[in-house]
Amino acid sequence: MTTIKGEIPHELEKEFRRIIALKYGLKKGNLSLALQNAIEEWIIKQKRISTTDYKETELLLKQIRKEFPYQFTAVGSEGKIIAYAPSLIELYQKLDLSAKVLIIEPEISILNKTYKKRQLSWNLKRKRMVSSK
Amino acid sequence: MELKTKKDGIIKVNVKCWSFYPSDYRVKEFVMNIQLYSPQQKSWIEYHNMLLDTGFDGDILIPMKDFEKHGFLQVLSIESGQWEAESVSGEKLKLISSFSELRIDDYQIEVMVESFTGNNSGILGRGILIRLKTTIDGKNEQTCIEID
Repeated sequence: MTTIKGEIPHELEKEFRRIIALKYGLKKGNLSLALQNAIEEWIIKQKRISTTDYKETELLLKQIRKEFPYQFTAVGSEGKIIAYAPSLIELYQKLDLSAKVLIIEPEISILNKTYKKRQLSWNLKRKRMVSSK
Repeated sequence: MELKTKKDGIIKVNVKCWSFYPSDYRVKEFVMNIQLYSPQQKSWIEYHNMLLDTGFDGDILIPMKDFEKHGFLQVLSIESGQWEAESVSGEKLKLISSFSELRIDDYQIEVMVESFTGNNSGILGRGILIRLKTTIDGKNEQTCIEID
């Protein structure tokens, strides 16, 4: 663990602390946890190629699947085809991973992608409450 | 772990079993040992005692630090970030997704690998279970799969 120092507007700090208190409570360490999550999310966002445009994605998917049927395809920025292979392992062996790519699976793939919404879990962990005397 | 071969007439079935994993003094979890192909290492990585969770309707969820370490962030699915997950408490989380191959004993399948910021859990979901014949054998405290 390490300490980082920086300046942010006072109002932003107040709002940050308020939301942490609402979401996680006033327990010690929650600020660090929330800060860590925020930084992680920011890092991932910077690393990720934007795929939030649904229409654009659908169009690219159709085009590439037509051109490379039955293949897993790695697409770089601006939709450039970097590599393709009939299996994921063969495709990953072709990639050096120094640059980020997006993977398009073949249409016939049996991957579990029916819905764009996942049910995460119904796994509830029970914890014995400490009785207050 | 044991490997059994049953002969029933002409049908041969390989059965692979894993003992329940005691996560605390009372609860024993249904687990499997699996291997997942790492795009970064270009080799198979082992996951011991990976929890089976019928509540998760995806294939496999791995801890965020593993997702990053094994290079899945470099090979995201084109539809990554367009999926959201809802927990039992109604909390909504944005999932990131990639692909890999998963091995359970001799059985190898393509899977969608997912994670989200802050996730420390590794679970196998219904996306895997619907492709297997799984027995949760509570009396013998083991989880078994049959591979044809």
